[in-house]
Amino acid sequence: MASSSTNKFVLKSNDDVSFEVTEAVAREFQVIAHIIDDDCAKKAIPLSNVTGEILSKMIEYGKKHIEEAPVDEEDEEGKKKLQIWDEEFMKQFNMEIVFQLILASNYLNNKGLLDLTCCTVADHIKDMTPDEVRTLFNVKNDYTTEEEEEIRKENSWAFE
Amino acid sequence: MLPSTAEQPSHTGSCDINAVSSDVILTHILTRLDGASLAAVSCTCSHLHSFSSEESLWKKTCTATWPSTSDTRVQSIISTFPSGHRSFFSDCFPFLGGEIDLTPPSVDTTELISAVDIHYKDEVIFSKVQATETISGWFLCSPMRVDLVEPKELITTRVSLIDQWENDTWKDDLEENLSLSWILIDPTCKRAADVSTRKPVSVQRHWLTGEVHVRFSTILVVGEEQVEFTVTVVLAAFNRREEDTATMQIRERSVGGGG
Repeated sequence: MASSSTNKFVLKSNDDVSFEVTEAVAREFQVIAHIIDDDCAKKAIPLSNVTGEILSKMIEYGKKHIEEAPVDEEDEEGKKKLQIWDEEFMKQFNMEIVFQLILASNYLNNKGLLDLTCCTVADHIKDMTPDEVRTLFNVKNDYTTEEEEEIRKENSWAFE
Repeated sequence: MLPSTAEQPSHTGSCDINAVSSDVILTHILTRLDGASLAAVSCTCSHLHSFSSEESLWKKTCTATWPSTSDTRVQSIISTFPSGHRSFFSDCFPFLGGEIDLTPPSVDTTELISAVDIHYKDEVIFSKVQATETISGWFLCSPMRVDLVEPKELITTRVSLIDQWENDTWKDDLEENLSLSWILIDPTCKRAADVSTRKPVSVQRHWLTGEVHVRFSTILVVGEEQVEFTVTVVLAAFNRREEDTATMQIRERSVGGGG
């Protein structure tokens, strides 16, 4: 079997953008790792739920985490460096992209990216009022006026 | 299909938080929120309301904020609150200066539970739960007093104050970094309140014994009366020698005074 740094695979997004990646990067995504292990990865691997734009960002993340992976558990400096990179990486996205990254990293099963993106969402929610949360996350208010008043009263301790 | 949706303005896209699977919202996003944020999220829509009312989320939030509440006794009392840990958290939430609705305990109340946590920076250095009976004549006639530490008992903490001692900055350091929460729970009325100040109101070293007294004090209006809640934490045997721990002894008392 060829080594995972020379063995290449092609990942294909749902809008027909192809990316050639090393096996190691492809294996960053659990679902793709299973496809490779099941030997179903002869040609391009089609990913029906991910756009090219999102996939390119996910590959960028996967590559970085392979290249800069901390040497071991004790490698605090390495971990810190990667963490700073993660923060910078997330800063470039608006919420819509962040949600698409959550969906895609959940679908392709990359725990690191799922944690990172969900953490970004949680950080945004902190200290927000319900209206701000609705606006930021495009949440549709389905309460009646009475229901909303009731629920706001019940939770008013938190934001008034 | 267009190759990219990135050109769209951020809030008009089809991708909103409810497109994310329930499992991800519940296990990856809501678990990272504090109590106030959870409450804000629950007001946005009915879908998120049902997720953010999940008991396990509130239990985690309560025990993270007040480790003493993981005590089995306290747990069983909280489970009788109208919405469990969510009610308990909102009862205790106004940490600082907020208005607390402390109606006097009803005559049926037979005891009060104190749940006390002391933090140094982000580390919990002391947690204790103690019950005080409230029916004997002794209780009714004198200020309520709770001693959390036996008279000769010393509780060793892992906090090192050696540097602060040498640079004589221990006082500022304690004022800055020591915080305390004292939650009084009324099991009969299913209510709770945080009656502490969080930050010390004074830090003083006793001239004779060398012990450091850290005082926390709050004045709350209960019914018609003003009640002062005072906690004194005594840090004993600040060691000048090589030992790199500050040992502490903790006494606590509250004083109820007419207003």
